[in-house]
Amino acid sequence: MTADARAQLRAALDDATAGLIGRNALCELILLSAVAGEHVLVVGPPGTGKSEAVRQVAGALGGRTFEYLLGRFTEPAELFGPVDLRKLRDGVLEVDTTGMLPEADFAFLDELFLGSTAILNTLLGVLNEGHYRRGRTDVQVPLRVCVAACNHLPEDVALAALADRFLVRVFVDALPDSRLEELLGVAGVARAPVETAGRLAALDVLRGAARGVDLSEAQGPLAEAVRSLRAEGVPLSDRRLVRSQRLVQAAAALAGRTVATRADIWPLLCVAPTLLAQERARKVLPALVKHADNALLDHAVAEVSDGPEALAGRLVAESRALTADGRPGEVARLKGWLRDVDVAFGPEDRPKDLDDARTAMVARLETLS
Amino acid sequence: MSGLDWAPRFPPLLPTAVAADGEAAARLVAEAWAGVAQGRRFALDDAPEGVVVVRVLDGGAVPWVDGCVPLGTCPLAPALLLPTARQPRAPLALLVQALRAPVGEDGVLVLLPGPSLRCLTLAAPWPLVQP
Repeated sequence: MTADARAQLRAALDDATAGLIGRNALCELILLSAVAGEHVLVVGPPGTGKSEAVRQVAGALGGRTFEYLLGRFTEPAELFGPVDLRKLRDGVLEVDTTGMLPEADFAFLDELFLGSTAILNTLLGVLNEGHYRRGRTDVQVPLRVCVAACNHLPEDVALAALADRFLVRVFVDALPDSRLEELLGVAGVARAPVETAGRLAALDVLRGAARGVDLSEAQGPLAEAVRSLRAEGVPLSDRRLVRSQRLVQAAAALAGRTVATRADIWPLLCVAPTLLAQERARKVLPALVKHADNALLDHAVAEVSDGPEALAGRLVAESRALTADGRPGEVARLKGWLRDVDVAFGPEDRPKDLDDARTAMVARLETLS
Repeated sequence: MSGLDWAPRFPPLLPTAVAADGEAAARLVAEAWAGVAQGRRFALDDAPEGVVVVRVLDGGAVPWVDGCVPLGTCPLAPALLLPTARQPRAPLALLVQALRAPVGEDGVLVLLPGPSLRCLTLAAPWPLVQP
């Protein structure tokens, strides 16, 4: 049953990332967080595809999405729903949550930390307890994952409690120059509608499976990794460490394992709270997460472990999306992919699946030239 | 000169040039000219042993053809172009010293992987200019 669910989520990821350049890892981490029941904070400048990635993942999974750009004057009603004035006249405080955040499966809150104290406190309750309560309104929130975005991490201590609810931190920047042709190539290309039936249920199957994953084998390597991170000066609170186990369970479930192993501790890097901490962690973790293995989340694994096996896996995955996609500029994309392969792997060092993919890409290029 | 042992290098060097020989060399030159026609800036080195090296002058991506070897430099040896994905199993500083001795301080050296040691000296590159 979980194999079917994983196949559904693979298809959802393929749909979500089609035409989305350079944000595969972000989409995969959103999915990982949704399976783990954790939330994601994306930090980066405006216009870097943050909201588009969330929209694509939510759209591909078929859930209800609530998206809002917060400002200093945003009212709680704009997120949680208006007070029912007719009932208020009778002395009953009730909120109409129809179509608002308390009824959403996926939420994207842009510029989260600009929200008022009233909004942030209510949101903290929703994220902590999975319930929205106000007056006589008590709604169990179906939210699978809340993704918040900001340009910079807040320095205000008062916001720390809320920021801490977002276990997974992803730092994004503008695409590198080498990918600009791809970006320009997909601009304005209409997306085909996707069939999402059964995908939200598949997500819930994996959420259930993740909660049942045995962690005993992964706890030793996890503790070893955390000791190395702390020795390197990467701040990692006990609370974040304990909660990171849910990500490890989710990674194992998405890899089809019922027992988490050393191969599943890679999400630990995403728990490091700042960009500097993640960069330091990147220097320490490759040796510890070199066994990272997750075919479904190969881009995220490659970003975290940054090892040759992970990079080869990502390149193989990219090759599948490269051919016969009907988009203009295929020759340039094929050459770019082949250049990436040759820059990173000498002919003697290529893993077999990457070598096979390279051979196929060269043949494809010859037919197009 | 005897052979040199090579090992995979990860992460790879940043590619700043690309080498090719034989049939691939002709295709590499054509690819570089095609890039120049689109506004790219490259320089060409006609190295010994039929090897062609194209250096990138505008900071963009290196041209690619099947059979080429992307090259980059590492901070320890800035005047030595090495394959981006492979590294010699020898202390680089000593290696550079040994390779420099017969050719002097001028020019850029290129070290290519292979069964025997292939160290080429590049003199003055020719900037490719659109006719």
